[in-house]
Amino acid sequence: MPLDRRAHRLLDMLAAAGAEAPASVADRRAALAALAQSADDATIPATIEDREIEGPGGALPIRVYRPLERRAGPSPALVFFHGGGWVAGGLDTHDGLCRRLCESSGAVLVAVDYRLAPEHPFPAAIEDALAALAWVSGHTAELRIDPDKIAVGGDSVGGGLAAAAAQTSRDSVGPAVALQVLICPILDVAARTPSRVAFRDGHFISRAAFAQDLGDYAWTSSAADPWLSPGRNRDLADLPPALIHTAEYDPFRDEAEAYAAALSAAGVETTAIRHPGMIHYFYAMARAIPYAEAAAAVIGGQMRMAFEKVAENSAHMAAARR
Amino acid sequence: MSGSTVRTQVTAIVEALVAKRAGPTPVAADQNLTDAGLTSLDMVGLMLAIEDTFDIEIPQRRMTPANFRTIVAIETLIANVALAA
Repeated sequence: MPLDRRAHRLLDMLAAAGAEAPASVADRRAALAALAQSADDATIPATIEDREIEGPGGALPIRVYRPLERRAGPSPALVFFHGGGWVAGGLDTHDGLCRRLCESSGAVLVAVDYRLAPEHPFPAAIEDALAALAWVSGHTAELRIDPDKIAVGGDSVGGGLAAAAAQTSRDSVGPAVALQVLICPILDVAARTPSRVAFRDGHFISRAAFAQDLGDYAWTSSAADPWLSPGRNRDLADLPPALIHTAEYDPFRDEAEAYAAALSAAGVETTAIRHPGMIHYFYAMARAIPYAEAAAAVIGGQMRMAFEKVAENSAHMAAARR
Repeated sequence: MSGSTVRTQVTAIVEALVAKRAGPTPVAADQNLTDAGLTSLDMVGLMLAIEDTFDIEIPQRRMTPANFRTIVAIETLIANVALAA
């Protein structure tokens, strides 16, 4: 379908504001913060607690969102990594999206303020992501979450961090990950797919802007490193079930859909949804693109079903043991 | 909508944004908003807020930095869009 009318208007506004011009690190951070403030003013209620955990680089800030809905027993959880090109973004830029996902999924959402580049280049972000996952897994009683229902998730480069965390957790027999939720993830930093070509300019993140972010984050690393490009990993068996959401007009669409296909082929339960007419980052700009709310509802509903399935499976296993 | 009401509402939108950027308020009607601390990306926020508040759709050809340079410019833009509608 054609570009969504509201998405189209937002792209026009961004173009008029000169948003795709090369910018300094400080300007890129300010730009995402400004966009987050104007394009998403979610005031969805949740119980929110900011705290600091011990990370590999020192204190690692996290924000814990608890849904208002009452639940008997422990909650499922989503450890969430924000997007922003490894250089920008934080707890505040993605607060609206996190509130929405917390409410729609009913999960306790732990947003991770991982260290940013260029001050902290690769692999600082993924190391912090793994540390946060391990911390959540080690504090299930305190957080009142179900250790069998811990999901990882993220958007944009945060989706890549979530995919890499799921792979690493499997390989190192780290915390069990019940589900991976990848929203417009960037999974292959050197992809040359048709979507990368077709939407290289004027579709929220230009090729030049992405190259600048990547250069700031990972100038010394190989694009084939699965911590940087988890989509390049060929060993996908036994990964947790995946919910993958892509946007039709997103340069990073094809690599995410390829990953969904590869996961399915490897026997991983995978659901991929392409959001028609949408652009990268649409899900976090609900004020500008109202469809974002519907998308968050879909993602939350899928998560609820996936967590239910985990419960059924563990009930079956318990019955089999008796 | 009367002129003074538009001015008041535009000023409120602008000053809220300027305050978020830790710029000085109040903002004079003819003050350059970049000098008041607004970034180019804040123009997107201004456009979205203006469209919401006045229930108008700013045509693409009017999405120019000049039309968002000052409170007076925004006021003129709103009047022009409303007249054309």
